[in-house]
Amino acid sequence: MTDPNHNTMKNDEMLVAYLDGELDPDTRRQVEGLIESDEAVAGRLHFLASSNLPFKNAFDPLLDKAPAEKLQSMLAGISPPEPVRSQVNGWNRRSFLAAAIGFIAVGVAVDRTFLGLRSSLHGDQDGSDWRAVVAQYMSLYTRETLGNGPVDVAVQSAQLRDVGSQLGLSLTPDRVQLPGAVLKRAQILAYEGRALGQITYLDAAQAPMALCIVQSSKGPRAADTERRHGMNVVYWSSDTHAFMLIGHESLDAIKTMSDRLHQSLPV
Amino acid sequence: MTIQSGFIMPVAYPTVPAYSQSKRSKESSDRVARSDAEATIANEQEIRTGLSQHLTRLWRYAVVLSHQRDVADDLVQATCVRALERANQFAHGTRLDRWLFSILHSIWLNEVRSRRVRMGQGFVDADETLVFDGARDTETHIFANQVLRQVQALPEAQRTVVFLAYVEELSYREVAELLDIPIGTVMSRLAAARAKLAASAGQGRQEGSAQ
Repeated sequence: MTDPNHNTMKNDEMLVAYLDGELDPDTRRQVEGLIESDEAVAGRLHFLASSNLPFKNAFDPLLDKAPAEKLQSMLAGISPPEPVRSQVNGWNRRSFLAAAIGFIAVGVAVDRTFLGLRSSLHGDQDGSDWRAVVAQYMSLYTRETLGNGPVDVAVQSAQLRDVGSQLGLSLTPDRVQLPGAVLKRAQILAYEGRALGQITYLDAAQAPMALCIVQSSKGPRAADTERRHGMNVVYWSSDTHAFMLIGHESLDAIKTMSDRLHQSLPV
Repeated sequence: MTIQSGFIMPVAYPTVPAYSQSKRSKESSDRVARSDAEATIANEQEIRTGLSQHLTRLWRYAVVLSHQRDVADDLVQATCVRALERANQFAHGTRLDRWLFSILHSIWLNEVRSRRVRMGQGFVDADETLVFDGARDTETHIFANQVLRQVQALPEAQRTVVFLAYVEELSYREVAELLDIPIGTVMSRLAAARAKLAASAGQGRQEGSAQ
């Protein structure tokens, strides 16, 4: 290499490694000798040392910015990879324990979780909170979140069976198929310690949409509509479950789809 | 901003024993052999607990890589799924956080990042996403934000090593193993990054007469 810049870069590597305390003793002595004997080397070291910045301090606030609670419920909602696991009344005990452990790690979140659990057990919400959380979560989805890989009906059937069993519903690809949308996947998320089934689709315009289901004892309720995070929502409930269909399609299109679900879903 | 030319330090690079590739690969193969022998299979619950402890650090790394919060959320989720699927590949006696970081990095590199490039979406400028409650205008905050922005403005390869070495405080060797690159590459990326950061730190001052 005859390029003088190349040599400078190699020299910089040595000096930076020296500043970082990463040189072995022999090399360190050589570099120290050079710093003492060569002003240019000393000057360069001085220059490079001015990049000793408080990196840790600068990046620590990012830890506080992390959506810790959301990440913990996301983690708790990931089903164990084993095909068989014990379930009691639709509660996944391991996920619940994992959620509990996770929240202890976060500490601050514990109170809120118990409050959330208590309020959901006592049923004192108007039922819109979970839709707000779902809408926020869905607003983070892009086509690419769902777009990877071909659709495998066998995998989808298994996912739906799994989600259905945790919600106490019988779900199959046929039952959740939506006109004009492609079924992508089904998974369990957690909302306030409860299982939340999420079935995702790409609509005709390749935008993400989802059917979300939680168990609910608030009684049947006819379909209603709302807008959240720039998406259209149709929601309704049966004796045992609350449903919401959310997406970027027109309200009419989503209503039509929800009518189809009304007929096909077993409740 | 330019690197001084004509400045030559007569240390022959390949003679530095600490960074010879042969030593590095020998040590890592020793470690693999040892961990194979001692490996007890980590169960999924241990990985889950570990994930739970490291979620915010993983998210921060994902933000450093992607510059985008929503992508970071998804990256962390994909990392959790992958780590749980591969729980039995984690060897006791090695650092769980390093293992999780390397999973996240490979998902970013092989799946998310490549897909974004293919989709022609390109990359997001650091400033757009680093919304750091600008309201808290204490000097400390302003300076911290400045440092953060400077690092985030570095090319991805450079800011990754700066972050791992100086924020996560990994040794050069650990950075090399996590990113699966030679230690010499870690050194050259850090040197290039430091030269850039030093140049911006010296802006407004005469280079060489700092302080």
